[in-house]
Amino acid sequence: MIAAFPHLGPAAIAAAQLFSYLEIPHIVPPDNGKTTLEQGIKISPEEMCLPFKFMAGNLKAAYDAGADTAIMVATCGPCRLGEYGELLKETLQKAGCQYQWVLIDSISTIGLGELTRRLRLLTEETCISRRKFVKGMAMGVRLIFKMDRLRKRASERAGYLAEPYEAVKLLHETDEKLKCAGSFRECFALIREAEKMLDILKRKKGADPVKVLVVGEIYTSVEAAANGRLEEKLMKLGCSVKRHIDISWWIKYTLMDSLVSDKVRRLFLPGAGLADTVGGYGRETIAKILREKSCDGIIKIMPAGCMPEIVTKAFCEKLQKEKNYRILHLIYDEMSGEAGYETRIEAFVDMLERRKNVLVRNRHRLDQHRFGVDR
Amino acid sequence: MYWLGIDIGSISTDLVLIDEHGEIKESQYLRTKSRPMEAVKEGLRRLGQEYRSEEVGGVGVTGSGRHLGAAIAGGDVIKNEITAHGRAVAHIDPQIRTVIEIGGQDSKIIIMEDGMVSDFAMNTVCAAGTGSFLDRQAGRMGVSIEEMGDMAAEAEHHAAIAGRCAVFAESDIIHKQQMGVREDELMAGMCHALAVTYMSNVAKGKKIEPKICFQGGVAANRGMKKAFEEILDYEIFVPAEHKVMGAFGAALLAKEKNVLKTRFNGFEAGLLDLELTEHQCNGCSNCCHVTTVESDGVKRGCFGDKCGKYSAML
Repeated sequence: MIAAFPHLGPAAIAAAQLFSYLEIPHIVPPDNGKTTLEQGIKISPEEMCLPFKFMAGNLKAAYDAGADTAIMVATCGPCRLGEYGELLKETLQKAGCQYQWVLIDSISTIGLGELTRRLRLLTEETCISRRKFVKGMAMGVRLIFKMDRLRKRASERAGYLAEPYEAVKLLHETDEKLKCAGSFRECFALIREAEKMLDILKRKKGADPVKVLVVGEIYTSVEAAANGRLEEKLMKLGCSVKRHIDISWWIKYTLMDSLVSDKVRRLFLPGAGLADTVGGYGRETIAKILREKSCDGIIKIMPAGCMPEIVTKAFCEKLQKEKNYRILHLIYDEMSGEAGYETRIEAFVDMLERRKNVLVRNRHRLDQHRFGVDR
Repeated sequence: MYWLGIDIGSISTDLVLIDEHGEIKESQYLRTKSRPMEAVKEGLRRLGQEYRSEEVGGVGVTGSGRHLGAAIAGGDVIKNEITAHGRAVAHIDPQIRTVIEIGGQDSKIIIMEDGMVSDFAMNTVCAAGTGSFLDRQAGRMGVSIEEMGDMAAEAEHHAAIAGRCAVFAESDIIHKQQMGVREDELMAGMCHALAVTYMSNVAKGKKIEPKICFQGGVAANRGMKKAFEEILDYEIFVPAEHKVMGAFGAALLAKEKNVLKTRFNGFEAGLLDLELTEHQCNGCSNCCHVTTVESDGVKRGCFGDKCGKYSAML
């Protein structure tokens, strides 16, 4: 058995470490880029969303390199009516990839029994002890949490640095090193080192950067190639960037999903106006916006044709009008004009910066402008 | 002391010189003709005949070719078009609340509040609401773009033209011509169709309040002004500088930044022999195409890289 999995930000790095630890042969598909997308577009139906095309491209590339078992976290969410994973399976089969599939759906939809049956496929063929398997999983999850924490800290810190570019560079270098790391222990050491590096980067005195919140569909948020490296762009423009939706959030969320029912969970979402889930993480996107304590503007991203986020967009427009939130909507598609995005992002940041500089003389007006602060 | 603003767009390249009071001293409106480098050099040469390089205190560059422009002329401020346009509008009249900007290949709406940009939108991947549509149709009918605007403004009615898609609009125009619809009504119809497309594509969901300012190359077209006035039911103000607002804004931004030592390469840059080379960087999976601008073996600028490996070095 040679395992393969699609890219999903830091999860791919952690998954590669996990398979090495479990001594399961595996292939990490080449990093997401133009070639991945081209391959994905060739084999997927045209109306599918961008993340699907990326993942199809990943798995096709891995198959061509010799992989025979595809492992994917599908969760059976409301995307494509819960058939997202199955659809991917079908698409690849049509393209001639005879994979053996391990679709990891959430416990609440397929039950614990089915999930362990699916996972057993991995343990059986490789004769790993259950203990080692669980331990590996735990380390993998820990690695993801640590990577997300580093990313969060670096992107929030960027605006406060004398050279915001340094933070981008640090994240880049750490990512490259992690990809080549030999063991979990080495990974943890690398992250510790990076965190130390981040703390000694030179700060700018009296910095009050523009704070931007990035929300939106999870794949587009997590995978930098799918959002034109939005966060890096913002960091380079000297913003302090926040993004709450990432893999570690998703792990917590999905675990909670199997423990607590939706009815209970809904109580914790403040009057979002969306009583029911709209699919994807649309409702959660809104909850994140409403819960944000202090930020100057929001950038909401989604892939073209993402149904849940289209519903959320309508809701955001209401917030824009009623509460005077500043929201920039960016829709990512394979037919993207780089220049258009750049202009919009730059103009948005300029707008926030100028407003802030004018309002800063008038502190109480700034607090009103930085929404979320008690009025 | 003067400040120079350069706006490199798809159709035109504009250069503006402003003085200490923010008044326009000199402006150049040149056709880009798909040769942005030549257009910038030509503009610099023309200005260089009357002004000395030492008189320039700062340079602002904007437009889709801003990085190229900065590589040639040197840029103290390199800003996007929306910020530049917003700045110029705030300078001309702080009362303006809505800015309709239609250029050759993109169209924007900017909502202003207290002399600051408060919201904006841009057309995405479609050219149906932009000037190139009118340009193309005028060319097909054998009239200049200026004549077309005047004819459209004087027409009594406008023909109904399906303007959602620029290609289908053309088929519709041909059909209407074959039906014997008068030429001036057709032109008024085109302007109307463009304005409607703009309102539904770009200005969708934005609250439009007076005073409304109309600028960009298309604002010179009287037929378009009339079409917008009909649709919005407000008087529309077209500033005298409407063609060069981007460059004007860039110059104002440069003046505002007030750098001690400008990066301006001097008007002599208009005489430089520039060479563009492109190479693919294989440093990561992005595989960016990096463009380098060189003259006489000296690196003048680098752009196109996503990570900043090359552009941050200069």
